[in-house]
Amino acid sequence: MSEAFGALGKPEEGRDFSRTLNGFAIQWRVVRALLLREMQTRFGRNQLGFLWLFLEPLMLALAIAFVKSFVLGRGREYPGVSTFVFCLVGYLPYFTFRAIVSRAPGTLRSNMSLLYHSHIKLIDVVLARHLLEAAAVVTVMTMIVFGIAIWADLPPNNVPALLFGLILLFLYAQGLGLLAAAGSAASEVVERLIHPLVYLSLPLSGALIPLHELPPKLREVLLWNPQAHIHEMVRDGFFGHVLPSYYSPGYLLFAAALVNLLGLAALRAVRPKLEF
Amino acid sequence: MIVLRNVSKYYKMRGKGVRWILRDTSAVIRRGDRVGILGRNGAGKSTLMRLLGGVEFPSEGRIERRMSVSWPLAHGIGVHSSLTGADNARFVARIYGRPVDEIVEAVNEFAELGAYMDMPVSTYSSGMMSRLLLGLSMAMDFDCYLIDEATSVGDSRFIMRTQQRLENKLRDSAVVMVSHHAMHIRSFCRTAAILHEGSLTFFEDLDEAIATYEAL
Repeated sequence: MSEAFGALGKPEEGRDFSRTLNGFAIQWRVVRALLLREMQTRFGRNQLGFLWLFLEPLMLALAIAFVKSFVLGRGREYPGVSTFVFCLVGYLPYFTFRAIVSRAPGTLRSNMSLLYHSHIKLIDVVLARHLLEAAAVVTVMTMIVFGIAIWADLPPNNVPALLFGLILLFLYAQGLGLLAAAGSAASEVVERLIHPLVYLSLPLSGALIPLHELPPKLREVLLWNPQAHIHEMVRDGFFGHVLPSYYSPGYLLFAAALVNLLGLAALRAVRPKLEF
Repeated sequence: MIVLRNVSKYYKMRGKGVRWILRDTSAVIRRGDRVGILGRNGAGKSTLMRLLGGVEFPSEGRIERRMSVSWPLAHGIGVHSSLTGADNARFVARIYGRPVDEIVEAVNEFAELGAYMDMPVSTYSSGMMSRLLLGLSMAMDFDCYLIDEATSVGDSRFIMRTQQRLENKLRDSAVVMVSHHAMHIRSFCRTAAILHEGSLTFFEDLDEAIATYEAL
């Protein structure tokens, strides 16, 4: 942010461009330090804790897929796509989305004392947490993709689509997370609404139902939700044309850019009002 | 220099009115200054420190920091309680872009925490905490140190060491310290100010400030 001048420098020092570069250097330094600290406090100093970061979403997605495919036994089979794999691929992006958006307010509140170090900006605290979540989901996805490719002999159809889908998922969730954090810092009502809204978005996101199965009118409605585009994109990357998909990367990119800009503006607006 | 230009700070109270911490105050803190700020409980001393440190923003007016200013040093502030002293030193070194190992060494040498350096900060006594905080901030070589809660600065031996360090190594650094104890201000500061009911009054003479404060 604009006030991020050097540790020992004066604000007047240097031209605008070098100040911006210096700001980025400080921001990178701070986010890196926060990431290292976050890993220490969250997982302690033993390696099992670190492993847990990957095991947690994997186990949850596996459990949901298991319940859906073996206990409930519903859902249509597509040639070469088991319900089990389908649920896994559908639920994991939602899991990441929920982890980022609904944890953002708590991240802010529990890290307020970090703001005593004036180099640390609100955005750094939230960004470090989000990067950690993103690293987790990318690692888990990679493991799953390899697992399915090896045991089920089903390599992902379109790796770039899968990868871009995940990047857009991260960007979109990050923007909403910023808004959620700023919103709950400003008002308690907003904070209470975030959890229910995130859960409500699950049936509206098409995470567990392919849009192809829906009547066209309903599909049109769901496609207003950028989450639906994310899930369709990730599924397309995974299953390809076995399952016709409906998404627009342009719309997603626009939605991600919009929520990020609004989120940054909201954080900036709320910062001077924070009380310690 | 830290420049305060027409700074006001107030909090909206639930229900009725506002509580003033500062009203239209202008002041300058220069390198080499040792200012003690006296104020009763609830006068807003810690808020003033947060304003000076850039943690909290003034309601009106501007605060310009033209030197590097430490974070307000108070019990448990700026450190993470579940991490060890050494981990905290590494974290702070990374934030401020300083060589990590050197800083851990410097903190260890100044704070004399011994084996506690590798214990979680939550196990520290208040004296150990303030030794860690002062050690951390001194290792960062700030131009200005904001010291809150002077009540737990440590035992007399450590106070002497801190004074010595401030005199020698940090000759042209500034110190702003708040306390409700005149004694602490006397042992670290050269001038003083009184924060009372929204106004900050500076005194050139320490004794005069203390006498005025005690007569409040």
